Amino acid sequence: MSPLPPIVECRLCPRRCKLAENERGDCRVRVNLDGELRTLVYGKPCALHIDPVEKKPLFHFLPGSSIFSIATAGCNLHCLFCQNWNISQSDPEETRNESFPPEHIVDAALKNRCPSIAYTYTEPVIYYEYTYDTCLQAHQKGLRNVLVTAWYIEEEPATEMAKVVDAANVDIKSFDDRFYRELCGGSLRPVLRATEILSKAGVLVEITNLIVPTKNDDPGVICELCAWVHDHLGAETPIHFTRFHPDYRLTGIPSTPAKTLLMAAETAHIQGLHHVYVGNLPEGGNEDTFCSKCGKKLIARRGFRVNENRLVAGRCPDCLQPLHGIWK
Amino acid sequence: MHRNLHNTLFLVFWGLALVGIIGSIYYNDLAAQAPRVENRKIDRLLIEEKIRNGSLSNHPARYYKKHSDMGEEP
Repeated sequence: MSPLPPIVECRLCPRRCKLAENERGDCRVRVNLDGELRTLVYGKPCALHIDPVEKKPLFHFLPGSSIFSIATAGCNLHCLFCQNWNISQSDPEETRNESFPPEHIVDAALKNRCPSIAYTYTEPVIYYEYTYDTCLQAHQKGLRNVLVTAWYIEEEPATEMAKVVDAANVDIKSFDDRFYRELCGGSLRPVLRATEILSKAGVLVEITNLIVPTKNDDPGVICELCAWVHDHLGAETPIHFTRFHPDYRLTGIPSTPAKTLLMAAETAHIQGLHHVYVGNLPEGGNEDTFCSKCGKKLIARRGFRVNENRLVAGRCPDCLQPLHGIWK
Repeated sequence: MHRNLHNTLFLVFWGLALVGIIGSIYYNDLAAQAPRVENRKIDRLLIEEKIRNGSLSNHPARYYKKHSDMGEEP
């Protein structure tokens, strides 16, 4: 009698899924085929777009530039409020996928005059190999790489990925582990650990916190998040508070009131963070960038558009203070 | 003296047991609420067809360990 094919244990993310033959991981895209772990989405994106970099949101990275953006199906979190749930919570055999190997992505970015590539919309952690190989090829052609991620990943792959990425917007969903467990099916601590790895590796990190009314809008928890960002990533780290819209399985909760977002922004300022942004507000939010030394406005934005950029070689033209970010 | 010790140990034992039972119910309850993928089994024929027609890949993944069918690492 031939032995059964082995069980494989995925070590990419903290779930550590144990997969018997013909089973998929919680991310939906990594499967045990004949005792080997395989990815079903390498070179098979289900979304390809050109976006303004401000849409990621990334405010301290090549402002006003276009970014070539890709995603595959699947995600290793299952947030009840996911705004891209139709692809993130789908099996890859259910989505309409293109064949775009890494070199084609790089060529397409160059052809469309995008100086950078974003691995976004769903979760680049789960299409790790595709992201990593595309990042390597992008660097060879002088392009930059951006992760837009919840960054629920183990330390070793996080460390490797940090070597080929230039910037990341990390979505820290709450500073409350219970929120992660109950609404996302994950946990907080690995996200914090992996985010520190990115920051220490010199990757430009911006933080997003989407505020869901009654779920993660407690001022004390927001205060803890801001204090952690200040102490572990630095006072110059940009933080974005974004507005929740009812979606997916959380349709019974209204959109985040403007006053909640403004309270969060004020909390972040009090905790000593210099670059605090509020997005997704119909009346416009706090989207402008100010010099952290003299306080003058350096970049004026409205929505995803940059109306004015006064930076000179990455510095404030008035007091010559360098502004934290990647500017050319 | 002996009786007091006995009573104290009795209370500590049942106190800890009660905390354990309540804690276990609480965490099982949380685990039941946590969103996750319900069906992990793939349709192998469908997947192979999608790999053949190019809409899925069959690419080696990184970061995993093999276990024997007894759950031990080789």
